[in-house]
Amino acid sequence: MTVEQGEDEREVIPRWRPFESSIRTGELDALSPAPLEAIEPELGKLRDEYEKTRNPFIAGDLLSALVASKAKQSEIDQLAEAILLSGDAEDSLQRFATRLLNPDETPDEQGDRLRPTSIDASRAVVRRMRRLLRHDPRNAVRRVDLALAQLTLGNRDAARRQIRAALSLAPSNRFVLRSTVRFLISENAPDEAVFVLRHSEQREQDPWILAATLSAAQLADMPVAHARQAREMLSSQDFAPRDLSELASELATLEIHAGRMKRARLLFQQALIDPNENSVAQADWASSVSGLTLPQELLQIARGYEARSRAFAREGNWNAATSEGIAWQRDEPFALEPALNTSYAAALGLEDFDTALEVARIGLRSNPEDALLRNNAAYAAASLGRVNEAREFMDGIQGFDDESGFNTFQATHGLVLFREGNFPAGRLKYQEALDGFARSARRDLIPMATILWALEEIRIGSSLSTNLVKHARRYAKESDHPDTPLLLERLNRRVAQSPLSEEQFQ
Amino acid sequence: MLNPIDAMNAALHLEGTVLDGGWTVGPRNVADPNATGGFFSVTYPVQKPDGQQGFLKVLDLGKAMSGGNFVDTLQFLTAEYAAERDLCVMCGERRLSRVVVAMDHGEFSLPGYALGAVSYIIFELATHDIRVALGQGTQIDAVLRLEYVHNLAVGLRQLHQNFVAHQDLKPSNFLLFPDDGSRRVGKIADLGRAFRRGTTSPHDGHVVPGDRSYAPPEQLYRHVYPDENTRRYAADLYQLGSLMTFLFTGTTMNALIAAELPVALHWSSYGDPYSTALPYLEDAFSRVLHGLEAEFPTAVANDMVRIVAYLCSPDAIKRGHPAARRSRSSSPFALQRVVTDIDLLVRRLSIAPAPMSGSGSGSVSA
Repeated sequence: MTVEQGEDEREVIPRWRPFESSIRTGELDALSPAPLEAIEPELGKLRDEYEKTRNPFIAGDLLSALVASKAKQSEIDQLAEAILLSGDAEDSLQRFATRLLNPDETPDEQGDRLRPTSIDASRAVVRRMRRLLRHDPRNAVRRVDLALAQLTLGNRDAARRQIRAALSLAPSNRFVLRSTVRFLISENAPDEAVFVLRHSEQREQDPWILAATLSAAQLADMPVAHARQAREMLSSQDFAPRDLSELASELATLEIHAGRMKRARLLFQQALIDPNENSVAQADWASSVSGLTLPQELLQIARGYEARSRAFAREGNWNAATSEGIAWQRDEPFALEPALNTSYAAALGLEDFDTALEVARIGLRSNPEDALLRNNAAYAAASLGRVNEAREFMDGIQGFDDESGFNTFQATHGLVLFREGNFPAGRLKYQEALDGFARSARRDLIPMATILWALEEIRIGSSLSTNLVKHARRYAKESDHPDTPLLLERLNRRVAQSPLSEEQFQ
Repeated sequence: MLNPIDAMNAALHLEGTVLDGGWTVGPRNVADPNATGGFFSVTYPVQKPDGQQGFLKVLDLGKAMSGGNFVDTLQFLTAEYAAERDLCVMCGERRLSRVVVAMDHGEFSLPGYALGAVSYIIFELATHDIRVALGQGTQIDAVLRLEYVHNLAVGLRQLHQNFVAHQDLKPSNFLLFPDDGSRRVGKIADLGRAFRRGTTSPHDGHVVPGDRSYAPPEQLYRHVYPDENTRRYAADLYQLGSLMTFLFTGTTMNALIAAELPVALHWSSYGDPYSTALPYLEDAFSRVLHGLEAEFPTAVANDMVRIVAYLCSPDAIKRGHPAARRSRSSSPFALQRVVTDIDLLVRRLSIAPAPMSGSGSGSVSA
């Protein structure tokens, strides 16, 4: 039996992407625009000189000044073309002109979707960053990128060293701070993240950092110390709606936790004026727990993989949920949440166990000790008949944080035993899982576990299957779990395909 | 046709005038590409009876009248002129060999003009600025370019040793003069934006005292270092490294950094404190340095990149020769060791075998 991330536990945790991707999201833009500076007189003199002399070095001087002052692209292109046409400029200037005329294509969202998550790709990033840092060891930005690649490969110690170095080099930089917070949360150390942020002088000026402070404090079960400051920022008119989006979302989340839904709705309204995908994902989560209505067009936001994956899963569109989930994992390959949710969607929704196993494996690189993800990997491997592999995943499980996780694991254990041919032991495990769910707060999982058990009994042609199917159908009728109908339909299909008649299952 | 202000402005009508010292004024330079000086001056060629030539820079009071606030502009112009004049005189008196010095200066009144007061400085006459020389198609090999960089560094060191920061080093302010031998020598020109310790200049309060296109990044991001030495001398170091880059690539450091920097983080759009932008700039700078390795002469490329790295570090506090920065007895921005570094490179390059072909040779021919 697989498990997904609980719906009651989302905070606006900063995303952690490579620097170039983070830039494209706009999350690193300045809070204040630069004042306009007049440089036309200086450029005018250079233009006159160039027109009169056509000297290639004056051309280079003018081109440099135009590029440095971000002059009109048409003028830059025209001069770069003239330099190339004249042919009398030096090779280096011609290369510069060529580069200006052929800028690197900025990868779009499609580029994100295609970003490789393979070990080889991450290793290549590690090699490239190490080479770069050999020459420039004080480059905080690339240390963060190296940490991300290391974490994606599962090298947590190496990632931790790089993050610490980056933080000491650039303790007030937004990219470094938010990446550090995301790393520490992945380390299950949100209290340390709060400590780092509370010592940052930028927290008081930067809503992106204050939002991270609030969410980390919430995850760490620490008192929310900056809510008033956050409210003042939200009402200050000093920031663009985009810069306030995550802060408003997180504050709204706090209001939901406090049961103040009206306030939460107002804050989400502010958050969604010009949101980023993280705020949309938060609003989508809020819509599932608090009755907030999320305008559906917002789900089309760039990089809104998480929100779309969750929304599609709720609709039962498992193909789309899995596809968006894979993109979500490509966006954050180190993160546990996309691995959990996508392996669940692929395995339970689509019975695409190869995809479920691959997604879980990628997640386990960075989160090798996560029991729920190991459970999902074991479920997918066992469903593929690879029981030895499933056993390896199960053997690495140290324990579960809650009873529900343990009971889910018992059901998976039952599946593995069935696939090993040890049916009595498998039945025992399934029964233990059902008993556990019955004692716990997750009684809604009883129908699903029963159906999954029944499917195994049908698969082996056991005489016990008829009784189990009856029970499963009865439980399913009373179930309020959204995914039960999907499994019930699957059960009915298998019943129809079984050599036994339908009457025997009535 | 002259406008009424120009018609009564003596500064624009000096052709044929004989100045003290026997200098005869030639025809006015109209937007002379080789002219040095700010927007508030006019220039002429001058010549002595013995054939010695010079370059006359005259304060243009007419500009004050066309400006918005006459009194303030006039005050600004005269203060700027006086500061430059005094500085040039000082440079001449101290015999700064790699700085363009004043040969003469003076004031007189030309009768018949409402704006008859003429204040002038006569400079030694350059053959070209460095761009014209490099673009003329004569063989200027990498060794000679490095020698020019050496001239630049020496000139800047001479200024710094006299507690002067140039603040506006750029290709058009690096002029070439005929030496006694067959080679030309480079000198730093235009002290109009300079800072001089112990005196005041109208530009002292400006965040960007020189031309913005060549200003160091801290100035472009509107950051003012509290320490005056960092603010003034470290900015000169950046411009020295930028000019060194220009001599070998035809592009300035600002252009190279701007090309590497995402648009949202460029100084024309990023308004947040400099400290928050620095990691991004350092990353862009790192890529620039990596690219420069292929552009500099192979035999000395690594060392040149090392020099540009310590001269142009986006964090001004980190600029300067590493040994100078470690030293407790000298300024971190002291240029003596930089001059020695470059001198050594000139020698090494002059005995290095010439590369066969391809980029990185640093030589040009036409």
